[in-house]
Amino acid sequence: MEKDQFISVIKENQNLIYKICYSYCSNSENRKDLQQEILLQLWNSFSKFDGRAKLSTWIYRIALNTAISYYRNDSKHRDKKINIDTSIISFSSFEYVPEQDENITLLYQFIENLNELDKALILLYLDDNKYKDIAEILGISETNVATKISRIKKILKEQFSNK
Amino acid sequence: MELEELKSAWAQYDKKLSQNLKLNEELLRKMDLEKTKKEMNAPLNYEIISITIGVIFLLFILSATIRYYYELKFLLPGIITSIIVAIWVYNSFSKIRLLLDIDYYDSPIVELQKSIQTFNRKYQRSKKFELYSIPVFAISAIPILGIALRNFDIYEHPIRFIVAIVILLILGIPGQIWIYKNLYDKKIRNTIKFLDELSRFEKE
Repeated sequence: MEKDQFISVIKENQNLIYKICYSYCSNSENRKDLQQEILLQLWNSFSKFDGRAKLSTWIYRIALNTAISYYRNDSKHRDKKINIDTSIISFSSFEYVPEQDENITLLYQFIENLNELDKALILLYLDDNKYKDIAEILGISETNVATKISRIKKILKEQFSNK
Repeated sequence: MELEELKSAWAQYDKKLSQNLKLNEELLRKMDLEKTKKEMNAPLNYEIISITIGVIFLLFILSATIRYYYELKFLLPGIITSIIVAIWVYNSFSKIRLLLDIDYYDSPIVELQKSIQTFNRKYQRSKKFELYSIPVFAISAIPILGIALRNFDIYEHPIRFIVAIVILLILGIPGQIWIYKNLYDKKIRNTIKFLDELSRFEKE
């Protein structure tokens, strides 16, 4: 059953989707919107997933591209309805940023101030993806990834050096 | 703070996030089960009220039947009414037992679905019996109640007897159907719907 498989895949990778939603939307209403939009895009592409790329790479690619479009206020797909129950993941009102972990809070604040592409880059970098995979996910060259990440790392290092 | 330390803090966060999302899922599951339990409280409360009234009524009818055992015209309706009410009480008792046996929080959804279906089957059977027995109950209960409550022999007033039966049927059957619709059918349908949703949600 395709739906069951899809639900299983989404549940397996919900932390990834959560981090993307949380990084791109600070407001819970927008987060809910983005979460639904990501689910819609993932569901629409699910039948086309051929297994050549890693599942997480495929999810990253679709979720991040959706988040970037959302961030740019590209609403051409907003009115489409998803024909599966979007409550398969329900973290729109769920927030998990450990208060005691100041670094994560600061990291999210840092990500919030980045542009849409840099947000994606830092998320992929922090999630320990290789430059090659990041390039594949975002559709930019590996050299471009390396340059951009090195720039972000420099700013990041500066911001956290005093902590 | 070094970047590697930051990455490791992020990895730790990711791990905790996964755990918390699982907890969140569990919490949502509990909330859905709470909704299910609330829905099934309506039939449970109704059955508890029914069994209480039923037992009191049964004791009253039995005592009246014993009091007028020497007159067949009261003895027979007394026995028939007692049997009908005893079956109603037994059915209520069985339904209460089935409802109280449902473990909403610790049993798997499939088991919960089975329990609700078992209750539903029992309810459908007793509903059929209750609806069919109302006319017999009306015919048999009126004479024994008349004599026991007001020392009134309804057989001597056949018109009144018929009117009483018609009134009881006009009030009893639609009233009972309303109760079935609102306290059972609707609630059971909602519960099955919640559980189906939960079951789809939990399928891996």
